[in-house]
Amino acid sequence: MTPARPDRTGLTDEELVRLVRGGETDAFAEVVRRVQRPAYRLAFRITRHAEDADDVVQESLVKAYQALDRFQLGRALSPWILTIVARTALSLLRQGKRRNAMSLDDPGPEGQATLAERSADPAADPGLWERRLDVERAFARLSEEHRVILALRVEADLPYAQIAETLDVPVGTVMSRLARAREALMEQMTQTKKDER
Amino acid sequence: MSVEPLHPAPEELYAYRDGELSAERRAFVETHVTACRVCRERMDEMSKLEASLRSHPDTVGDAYYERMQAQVMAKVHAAAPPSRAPIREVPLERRRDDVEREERRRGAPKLPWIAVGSAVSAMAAVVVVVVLLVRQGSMPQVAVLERSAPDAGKLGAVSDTSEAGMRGRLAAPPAESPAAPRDDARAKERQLAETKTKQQPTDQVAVAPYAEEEKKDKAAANEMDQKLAVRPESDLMAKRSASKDEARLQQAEPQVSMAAPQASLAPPAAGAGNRYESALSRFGLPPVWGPGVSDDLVLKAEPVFRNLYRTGGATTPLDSARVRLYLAEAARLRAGAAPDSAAIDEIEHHYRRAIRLGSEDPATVSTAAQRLREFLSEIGATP
Repeated sequence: MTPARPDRTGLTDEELVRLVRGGETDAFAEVVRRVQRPAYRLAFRITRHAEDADDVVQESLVKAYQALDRFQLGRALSPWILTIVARTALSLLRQGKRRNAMSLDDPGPEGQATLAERSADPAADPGLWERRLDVERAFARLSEEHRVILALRVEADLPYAQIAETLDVPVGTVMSRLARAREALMEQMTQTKKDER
Repeated sequence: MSVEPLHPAPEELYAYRDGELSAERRAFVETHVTACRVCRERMDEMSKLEASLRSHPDTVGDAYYERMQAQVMAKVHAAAPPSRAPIREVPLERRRDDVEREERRRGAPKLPWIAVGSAVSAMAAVVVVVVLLVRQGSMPQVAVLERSAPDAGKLGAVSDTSEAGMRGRLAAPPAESPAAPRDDARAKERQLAETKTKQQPTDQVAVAPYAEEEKKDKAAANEMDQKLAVRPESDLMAKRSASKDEARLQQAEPQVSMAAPQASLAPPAAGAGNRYESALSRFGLPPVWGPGVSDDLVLKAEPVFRNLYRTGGATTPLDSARVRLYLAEAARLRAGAAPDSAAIDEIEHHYRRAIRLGSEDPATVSTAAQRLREFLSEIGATP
């Protein structure tokens, strides 16, 4: 009989890190549970492909486990892991190994429903849903550089210094590139509205 | 005629919204935004767009994440480094103590002689006990040797030679069968443990069940400390003497002697006079890392260089390249003789960036390239 896994949901990130470092490999499952959702969302925003995102997240989490001894206690764990996810995803883009980007009308990784259909919340206001899809389409039309930096800021909520570290550029470049990306997103939204008329 | 208000640049406006502006610029933008409807509307529109991106529902369900967690954990178990201790079924509080103690030990200065001294004292105590008991002839030798040795590292092991401990052992009847001495010795062990339990404070009693594991951990840690202490120390000595006598360095390390003096004498970067130069002068480091640079200084300066790297403080590509070179060297020193995959990635990444960013200075590029080749060769990778 498999022994029941101890409940570690009440532990802080730092306590979990200490346990894993001390040899409790199973404690890392709780770390995975906590970060896999934002990690997948970030990876999907960068790679634009469900299977690529899946590969990126799994590889990143294993890397995070292996590098856990170098994590500085006292700092937030989630941004540290998301930085690894972003780097792994960028590495995939640079190596040209990624699959073709998925569109909102492609079926998802698990079911037949398209991304657009699964994005729809039946209980939500249809106007709001339309706008959400417009924003997603505008985001999809951005250049890779702009999508990546917006994903790091908006989806992963990383501070400028950490984005700079991830992208290997100075903080000033992050500031200007992010502003250009935001302006481009606004332009795409304006264009979408014009197209609809 | 109305005057157009002077709007802040978009990057400042958004950085203000992100809470990333300096106090001085923040005050300026805040004053403007309070009065400027155009800028407020722009920020509001951006907030709505970003909120929409953030609130985009997950395209995969809980079952997907559960499966992913299982897959990741399977890979994690397969990739578990052998250096990490095996899982021990001990209470959580106790494990936390272990980890904290281990971290203090890692952070503490290496004192191998103290460790060696403690081990020698413990062994001496064991020898005294063995000799006394053998002379008395009242204790089977096998039992004494088997049980005393593991106890040597325990708290209060030396006090086993105290009168009470000795009496406990000497009073035991002689053994009659080969199995009896062990049982007998175990019974005495229990008796001794009970005596100690009565004498020791509560915190020591709590530690006792883990003393065996703790001793093994300490032995492994001491061994690791000695390994770690020997190599950098010898490297450091070699490099210290090298800095005093460059001719000796050229004989000892002919493969690096061509690049090293060039690198050390390289002129400061065109963009010097910045934070990189301040960091160099603060630690007395040359503009470009070379084999004569002290390992201690590189490690001391590493947080400053890392900060420059993170905040973009090295303003020119050449300074940035030189920062990378120092960071690669610091990472190598930290990683020791057997770097893990993450350390290898980090070191290789810094060297490659140094080569790419330092294109205007041949000394920086050649040093970084040579060190990268040496590193790859050390770890058995193809340069």
